[in-house]
Amino acid sequence: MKKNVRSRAAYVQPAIVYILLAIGVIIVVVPLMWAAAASFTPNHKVFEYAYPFSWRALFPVDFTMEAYDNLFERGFGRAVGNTFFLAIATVIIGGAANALAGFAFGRFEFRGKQFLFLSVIMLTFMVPVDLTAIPRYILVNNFGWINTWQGLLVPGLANSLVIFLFRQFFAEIPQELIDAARVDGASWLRVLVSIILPISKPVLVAAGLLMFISQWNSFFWPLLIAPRQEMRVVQVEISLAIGQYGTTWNELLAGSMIAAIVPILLVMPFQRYYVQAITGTGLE
Amino acid sequence: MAVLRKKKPTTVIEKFNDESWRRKFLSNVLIPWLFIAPLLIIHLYVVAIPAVQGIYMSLTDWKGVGMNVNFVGLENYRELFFEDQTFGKALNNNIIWMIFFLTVPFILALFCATMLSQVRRGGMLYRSILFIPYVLASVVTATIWKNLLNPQRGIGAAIDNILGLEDVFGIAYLGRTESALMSIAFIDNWQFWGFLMILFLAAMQSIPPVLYDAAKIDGANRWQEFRHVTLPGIRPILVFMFMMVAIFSFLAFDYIFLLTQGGPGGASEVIATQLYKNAFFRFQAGYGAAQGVVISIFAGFIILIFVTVKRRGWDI
Amino acid sequence: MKSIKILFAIAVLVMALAPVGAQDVTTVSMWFSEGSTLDCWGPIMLEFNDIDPSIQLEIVPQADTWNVTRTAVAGGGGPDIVRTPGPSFVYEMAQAGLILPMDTFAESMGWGDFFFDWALDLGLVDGQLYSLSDELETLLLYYNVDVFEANGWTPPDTMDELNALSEEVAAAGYVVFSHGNASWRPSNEWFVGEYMTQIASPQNVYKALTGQIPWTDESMVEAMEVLDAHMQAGWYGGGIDLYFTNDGATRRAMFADGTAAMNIEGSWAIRGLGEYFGESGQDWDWVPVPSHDGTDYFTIGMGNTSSINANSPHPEAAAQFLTWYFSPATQGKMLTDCRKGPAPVTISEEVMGELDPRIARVYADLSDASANDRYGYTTWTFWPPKSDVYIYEEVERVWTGEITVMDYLEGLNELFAEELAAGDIPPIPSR
Repeated sequence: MKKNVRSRAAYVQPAIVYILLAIGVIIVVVPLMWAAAASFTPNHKVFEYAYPFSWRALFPVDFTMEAYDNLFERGFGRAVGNTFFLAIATVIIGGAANALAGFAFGRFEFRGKQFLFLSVIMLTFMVPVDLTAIPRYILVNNFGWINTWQGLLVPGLANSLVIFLFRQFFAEIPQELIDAARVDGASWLRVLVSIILPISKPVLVAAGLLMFISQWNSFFWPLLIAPRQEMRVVQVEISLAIGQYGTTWNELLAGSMIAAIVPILLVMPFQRYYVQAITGTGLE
Repeated sequence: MAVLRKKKPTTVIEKFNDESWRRKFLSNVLIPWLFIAPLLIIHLYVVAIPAVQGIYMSLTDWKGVGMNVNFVGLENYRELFFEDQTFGKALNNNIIWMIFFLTVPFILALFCATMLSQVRRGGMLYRSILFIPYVLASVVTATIWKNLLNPQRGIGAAIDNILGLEDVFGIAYLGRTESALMSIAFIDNWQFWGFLMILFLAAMQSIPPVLYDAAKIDGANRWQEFRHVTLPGIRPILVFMFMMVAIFSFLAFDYIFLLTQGGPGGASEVIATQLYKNAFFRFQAGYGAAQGVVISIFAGFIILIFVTVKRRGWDI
Repeated sequence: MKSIKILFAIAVLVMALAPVGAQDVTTVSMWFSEGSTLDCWGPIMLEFNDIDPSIQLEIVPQADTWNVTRTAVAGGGGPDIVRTPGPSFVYEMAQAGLILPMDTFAESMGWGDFFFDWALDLGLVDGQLYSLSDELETLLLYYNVDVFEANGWTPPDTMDELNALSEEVAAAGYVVFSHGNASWRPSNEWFVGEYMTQIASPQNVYKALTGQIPWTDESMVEAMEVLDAHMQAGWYGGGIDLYFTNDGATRRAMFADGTAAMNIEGSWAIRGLGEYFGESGQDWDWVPVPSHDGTDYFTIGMGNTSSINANSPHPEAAAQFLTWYFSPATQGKMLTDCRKGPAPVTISEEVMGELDPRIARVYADLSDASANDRYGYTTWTFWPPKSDVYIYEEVERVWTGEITVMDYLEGLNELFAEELAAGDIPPIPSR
C-alpha cells in the first residue's frame, strides 16, 4: 500500500514538474519568437498576426531582411564595432585597475582600508546615474573629452561589483601560497603575475563578463558624451528606431536581436566561472 | 640649534636605512596605495566627486540647470519625511517590489535550476533560451510586453477568444491601480529570473555528486535532498544574490518608467521615479538628490545587515 | 642660410594661417530627434546652407534629445541652437545663464517684423528675449465624418450638445473619444486645460493664472467635475483602464477605422491623421472644442522653443540661422511640405491657399480668435513647471477615485500659490 502511493507520486510529480516547466518555457519563448519573427517582417506587417494573436505571429511568414539591411546601411555595423572595441578596452584597462585595487583591499592591511572600501562601494549606489551625470559631464567637458573615446571609456572603468568580486576572491587565497613566494624574495607585482593570476581564472572571467556586458548595454552616457554619428554605440543606434512620432518596429527588434546575441555567446560558455568567482569556490 | 637642525634629517635617513622600518613602510603604506592608485584616480573623478556633489546638492535648492544654488541645510530631508505624502506610498511600493523580487524569481529560478540540473540532453539549449531575456535591452522588453498585455490585441484577448470569454483575461493590466505594479514586476522578472537560474544551476553543478549519493543512501526524498544538499551547496551565491536583489529593489526604475511612469494615479510610483520627475520635470533637483541619498542609505543599510549576518557565522 | 630661414618662417606663417582659412566656415549645430519628422524637416532646414557658404547648419540626430540637451547644456556643452519643450524650461535655463538674451539680434535682424507681438513676449524672461516660440498648437475636436454621416449626427457647438451626443455615441457602441495616454502620460493635461478653458472660460483661467481667483473657484470645480464624469463614463478610450493603456498608434487607428467617433487633440495630430485615414479610406474633419456658452475658444500652445546656447562660440551665426528658420517663407514651406505646426509668424495668404482647407482653417480661426479675445491657454505653455507636472500627474488620482476634485484643486492651488509667489510663472499675455 505504502509502496503504491509512493510510486504513484513518483509518476505524478514529474508530470507536474514538466507541465510547469513547459508553461515557463512558453512564457519566455513566445515573446522572444514574436520579436525574432517580427525582425524578419516588413515594418507595416509587424503586428498583422499579433492583433488578433495567431500562431503566424511567431514565424516570419512574410520573410524579409529589410530591417537588417536598413540597420546596416545606417551604420549599425560601425556601432557594433565601436561597442566591441569599447567593451574590450574596458575589460582590459578596467579589469587591471579593479584587480589591483581588489588585491590591495583583500590582502593588505593599511590605515583607512575599511573606510576607503566602504566609500568606494557605497558611492556607486548614489542614484540616479542621470543626476550624477551633470557633475560628471562638467568634469569630462573640462578635460575636453566630449566626442572622444576616452570620454566614452573612462567612466565605465570603475565598477564596484567587480572590485567587490576581486576582493572576495583574493581574500580567500591561502596565505602560504603568497608567503612561500615572498620568502623567496619575489616582489608583490611578481607574486601577482606568477602566483595569483594563474589561479584567478574564474574571477577574471566573471569580472570581464560583467564589465563587458555593462559596457555593451550602456546607453545614456554614450548618448550624452558622444553625439557624433561615427562614435555611436549599439544601444544608442537601436534607440534611434524609436522616433518621436512612430517606431520602426522591425529595425528596433532586429537591432535588439544582434545586441542580444553577443552577450549570450559570451556568457554561455563561461557561466561556471561566474558562479565560482562569486562563491569563491574557484580554488579546489 | 645647529645641532638640532642637523639631527632631524638624520633621523629620517636613519629610519630609512633601518631595513625593518623601510619594509613596514613599503608593505603597509606605499605598496597598498600604489595598487589602489589607478582605480582611485578613476573612481575619484567619475564616481566620488559627482556623488559627493550629489550629496551636497541634496542640501541645496538646486534646480538641475546651472550651478547657482542656495544652501538650505536639511530642509529637503525634512520635507521628504514629514511633508511629502507621496513619498510614503512610493517607499511602500519599493518594499512590495522587494518582497516580490526576493521571492518570485528566487523560487522560479531554484525550481527550474533543480529541474534542469537533472536534464542531460539539450540542457544548454534550455538554458540559453531562458537566459536570452536577460540580455535584451529594457526598452525592447518593455515594448514587447506592452503589446502582449494590450487588452484588445494582446495575449489575454487571444486566450479569451479561444475560451469564448469576454474581458476575463483581456484586461488592461497596466491601466488598473490594483494590478499595475505587479504587472511591471512580472515583466521585469520575466527578464531577470533567467540570470538567477543560470547562476544557481552553475552552483548546483559544482556540488559534488557524492553528497547526493550519500543522501539517497540515507533514504532522503527529493525535498530533503534539496533542503540538506542543494541549498547548503548553493548558499553563498544565494545569499549574495539576495543582497544584490534587495539593493536593486530600491533602485527600481527603468521598467516602471517605460511602462507606466508611476501611474495610474501613482499606483506604481517608486522612489526612483519620483526622484526622476522631481529632478527633471519639476526643477527640484536638490530635492531629488536628497531622495537619491536616502536610497543609497537604504542600500548601505542592506549591506550592513548582510555583513552583520556574515560576521555572526554565515558565509556570504 | 638666411634665405632658408626666411623660407622656413614663411612656411610657418602659411601653416599658421591655414587653419584660419579653414575657420572661415562657421558651423551652427542643432540636435534633433531622428525619425519621420527629421526626414521631412531636415532637407528643408539644410537649404539654409546654400545661402551663405561661410555659415553651415549641422543637424545631429539624437535619441532622447531633450534629456541629453539639458544635461549637456548644464554641463557647459551642447549644440549652438538649444531647443526646449516650453517656456518654463527656457525660464530656468535663462535664470541659470545657460542661454543668451537675444534682444540685439531681434532688433538688428528684424524679428519683430514677422513674429506676432504676443509671440515674442512669450520668450521674455525678466524683460529680455531668451527664446523664440515654435510649432503653434491648439486643441480641436476631431470627428470621423463617415461615422457621423452613417448615424446622422452633427458636430456639437456647446458642451451640453457634446454631452448629449456622447451619450448617443456610447449607446451606439462606439468609443466616444479615441484616447489613451500610454505613449505620452502628460496628455492628461490636454483635457484639464481644455475643460477649464471651455467650461470655466478663458477669462477665469487668466484670472487664476494671475492669482486673482483661486483654482478652487466654483467654475474650475465644475470643469473638473465634468471631465471626471466623462472619464468615469468611459468615454475616453472606452474605459478608464483602457485610457491608461491605449498608445498613440492604437488611438489613431481606432479613430481612423471608425471604432471611435471623436478625438480631442492638438493640431499636431493632423500630421498623423492623413496616414491613418488614408489606410482606412474614411474621412475626418474638426470643429472647435465646444464651450459652455457656444463661443469658439481656442487654447494657444507652443510645441517647442529655440534659444542660443551661452557656450556657443558664434551666437551671431546661430541668430542668422534662426532668422532664416523662423522667416515666414521657411515656416510656410515646412507647413505645406511637412504639415509642421508653424511658428507664430505671419504666413502669406498664398501659402495658406495651397494647404488642405481643414489645416488652413485651423490657423485662420486661431489668428481670428487671438485677435478677438477668444484665445485660451494650454497648461504646458503657460503654467509654471511644478503646477504643470501636478496637473497631469495628480489628475489620475481623481480619475482612479483616490482623491476628490476638490482635493485635487486645493493641492493645485497651494502649489500654484508657491510658484506665483516665487515668480516662476511664464509670461502670460494680458487680455
